[in-house]
Amino acid sequence: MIIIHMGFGGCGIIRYVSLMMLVVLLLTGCTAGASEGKKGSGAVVADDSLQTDSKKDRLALIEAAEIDDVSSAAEEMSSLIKTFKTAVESDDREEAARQAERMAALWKSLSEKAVDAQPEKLQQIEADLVGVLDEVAASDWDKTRLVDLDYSLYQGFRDVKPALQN
Amino acid sequence: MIRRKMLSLLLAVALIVALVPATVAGAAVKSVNVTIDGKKQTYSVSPRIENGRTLVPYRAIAEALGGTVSYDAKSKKATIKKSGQTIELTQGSKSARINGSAVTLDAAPLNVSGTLLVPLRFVGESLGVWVTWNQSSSTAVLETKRTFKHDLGSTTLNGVPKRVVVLFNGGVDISVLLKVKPVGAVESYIQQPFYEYIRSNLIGTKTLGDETQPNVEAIVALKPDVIIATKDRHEGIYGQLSKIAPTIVTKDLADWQDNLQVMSKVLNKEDIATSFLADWKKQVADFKSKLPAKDKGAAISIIRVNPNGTARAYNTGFAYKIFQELGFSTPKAQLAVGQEIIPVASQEQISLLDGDYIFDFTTDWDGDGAILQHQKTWTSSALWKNLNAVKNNKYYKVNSVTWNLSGGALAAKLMLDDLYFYFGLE
Repeated sequence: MIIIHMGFGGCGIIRYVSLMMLVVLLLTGCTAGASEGKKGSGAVVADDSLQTDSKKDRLALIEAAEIDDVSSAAEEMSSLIKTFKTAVESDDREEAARQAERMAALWKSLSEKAVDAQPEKLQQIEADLVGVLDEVAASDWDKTRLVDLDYSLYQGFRDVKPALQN
Repeated sequence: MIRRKMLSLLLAVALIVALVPATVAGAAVKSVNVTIDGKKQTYSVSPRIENGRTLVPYRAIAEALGGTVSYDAKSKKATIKKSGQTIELTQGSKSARINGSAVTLDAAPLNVSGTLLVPLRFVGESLGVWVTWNQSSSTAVLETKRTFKHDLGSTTLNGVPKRVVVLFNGGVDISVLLKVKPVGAVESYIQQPFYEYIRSNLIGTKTLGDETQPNVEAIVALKPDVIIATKDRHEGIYGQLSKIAPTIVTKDLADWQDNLQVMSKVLNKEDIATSFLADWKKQVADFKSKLPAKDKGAAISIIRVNPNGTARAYNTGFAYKIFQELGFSTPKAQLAVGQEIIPVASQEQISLLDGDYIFDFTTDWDGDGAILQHQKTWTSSALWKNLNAVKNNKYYKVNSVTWNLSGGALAAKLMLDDLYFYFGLE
């Protein structure tokens, strides 16, 4: 290796280093890809890393709901997640937007109470809610995506709910 | 005459008064029997039911099973040694130790006339025998060996297994439900090493490769005392597995209820399985009662897109069985094909994917999104948009782990719960 390297000269070294970096990048890229595949979620909605700050802001603008009883609020959230799907499927945009905001407001309070829940579950719910708020505000309504997001929310909240009822 | 009548009345009252306490006492102290391998046992202090718990004389049972017992009167501690295992119990305390590891009893051991009575369940857990309760004869049935007949033979176990190896994903899920941590288990198809919904319960369990091709050398290294396999996947290596350890084979990978029952009998956890299945039946009945008339018997199409870009519909498998149990039907066009897995190679056959509802558990196996691109090609076509389910907003992409890849009891419950979401039921 060293002999070949010496033979390349200055320009050759740059070319060689570039080549090595490319190989390293390709290798690490391939490994991560394969690894991500093995760790695939199996869920239909994913990738919270795609959130932009502006999208997160939509959730930030919503005020946390005042909660007297955590258990009742959790039940309301569960119920809203189901009725939201019905509103979307029946094309009731106004109702869907109202329910999405209420879910976000409830979640902002509930998330603080779910101290025993896995942090990644909380992040996923937040990502789903951001997605829901974004989609209900879009002029072009993607009902399939909204139901997919709602399903992800349903599964995520089901996992977190026990931590709210302790 | 009057005096004679009065005397009769008094006698009758006296008789009733005398009988009532005896009846009440009889109801309170119902006799409890114990059998070991079918032989009725007799004890100086009788087993009994206290606060709903069956308590049995531990020392006599341990000795009958070949254990040795010592008792320290000062600390009120009993130490039992059996088959290389040490069990430490203290009178009045729910905390015990098995080989140094802390365990909690359902109820504290009770001293009755110098005999320590312990909860029946603890006998099984600590002494490695199968314990079941026969309600009709009030008998605690203890078995020191069990023989399991299965499709590939007959397997005898000489004690409740402790080093358990599970070779199919549905079985791994069931082991979590039964609170038995396997020493080794096959890894999940995605989300490796184990599916996220059960992973936290499997910390320390060694992975043994793929369900379709488990790593035999790794199984040998674990020195299991039972291997739980399934005929669909492991018929070809059954002979090899049987030489490593007693191997029990379930008959159908997708029949989670049968798999649960078999595994619970092997692992001495029949009470958990019975309770889970009773709860399942209740929830199935609840779902059916809440399902609106328009959806009763709806034709359900269960589909996936394949890595090569073709698609398929399922008239078999885990999700299909659950839909059948819930009273749904199969699309007529699919039934007409007469195959369990219906290949749909091109858009010309797309109507085979239709139903009143379409549930799609396409899996992104490689994590590169290629298969999702194929899925998008299918769902973007004009022919797709013309399917009844699609036109009626009844096409759903569902969790491939809990609807297809796992196939366990806990997954079944999650899938059923998902159906409350999809059918809008409270």
